[in-house]
Amino acid sequence: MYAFAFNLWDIGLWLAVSSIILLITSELLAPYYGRMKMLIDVKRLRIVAIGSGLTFLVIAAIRISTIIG
Amino acid sequence: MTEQLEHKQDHHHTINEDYNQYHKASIVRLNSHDKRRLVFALPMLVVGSIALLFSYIYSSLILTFIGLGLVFWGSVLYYITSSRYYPDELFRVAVEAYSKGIINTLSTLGYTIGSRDARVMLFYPRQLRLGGLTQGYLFIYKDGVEPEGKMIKLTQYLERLDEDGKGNSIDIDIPARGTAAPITSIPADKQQGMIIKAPSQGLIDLFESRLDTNFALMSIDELSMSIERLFMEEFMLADSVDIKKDEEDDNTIRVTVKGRDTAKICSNMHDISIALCPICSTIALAISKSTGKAVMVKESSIGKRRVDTVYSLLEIV
Repeated sequence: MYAFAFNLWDIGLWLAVSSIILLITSELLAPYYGRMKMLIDVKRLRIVAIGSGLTFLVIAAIRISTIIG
Repeated sequence: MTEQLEHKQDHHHTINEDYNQYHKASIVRLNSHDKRRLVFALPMLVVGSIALLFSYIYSSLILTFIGLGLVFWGSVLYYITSSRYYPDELFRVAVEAYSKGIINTLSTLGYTIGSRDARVMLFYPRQLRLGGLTQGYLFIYKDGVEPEGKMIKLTQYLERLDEDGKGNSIDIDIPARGTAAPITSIPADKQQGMIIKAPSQGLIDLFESRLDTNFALMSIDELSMSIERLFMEEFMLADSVDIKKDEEDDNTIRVTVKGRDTAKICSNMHDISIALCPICSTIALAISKSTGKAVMVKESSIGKRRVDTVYSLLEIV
């Protein structure tokens, strides 16, 4: 039978790790300017970091509600 | 006649076809910046998608996480990398060209603002009809007139200005071409200088909108931190900015801007005019707004990666 071998909580944990990495990167990113060929938009990086963190929190809330309920 | 018309129609049809072909191609054609972004992101997305597909078929947890990771980080990489930027040369050349135009116009009227610029003041008028703290001005001393003391008498000039900044203090009759009409003599009390709207006011407005604040409400230390944040993080113009009062004289402000790009802009502009340098004049206007005094560039030195400027503050009377 074809199926993905993970559940929502696995995704949540993976998102938690990713969002921590993204948040730390967005805070520590050095303001190099002009000389690099790939410019990184720090605002967008922050948006992605906060978005993935919030998604993890939502998944955690769902898990907590299933445990309590 | 009919053949000529048909030939013209065929020619137009060919041109339209070529145009449409080019236009269609340009929709899907990627510029070099987009290609550069995809070089990193696309392989990750493709490999990640394949890994997800196999993870679904074989129900493998490891392949799922590999696939998810590659797809997620590939998308993030594509999203956060910017594909649009303008070469700094464009900005520098545009600023220099406009500045030279302004200088040429002023020199026609008998005012020279050169690289020394000891005779140019930046200030904000107190009169609300002139914009108050929303419009900065340049006061330029006429050729041969040197500023004296720690005060600058602007009231007589400001009273003559209307809301649009017209009605300036100098009347000059330009003789008609081919005539030998004498230039009208300028009254002695009008020979001190003239006022024009500061070109860098636009940058002040932009900075304040980005910071969502007003420089008039800031102290010098707060101004230093705000401008440093703008230059470093928002506009990526400099490595650091330091604005502080001189230890021995409260009416002297020392500004140090570190950064290779800033030094390049300033070194080109200071050969033309410090008062029209976008970096130095914007900082001067910000200081004027914060302190409520007129600002004059006292001295300036530029290194490879550093610009040091000393501003004098003058009371406006």
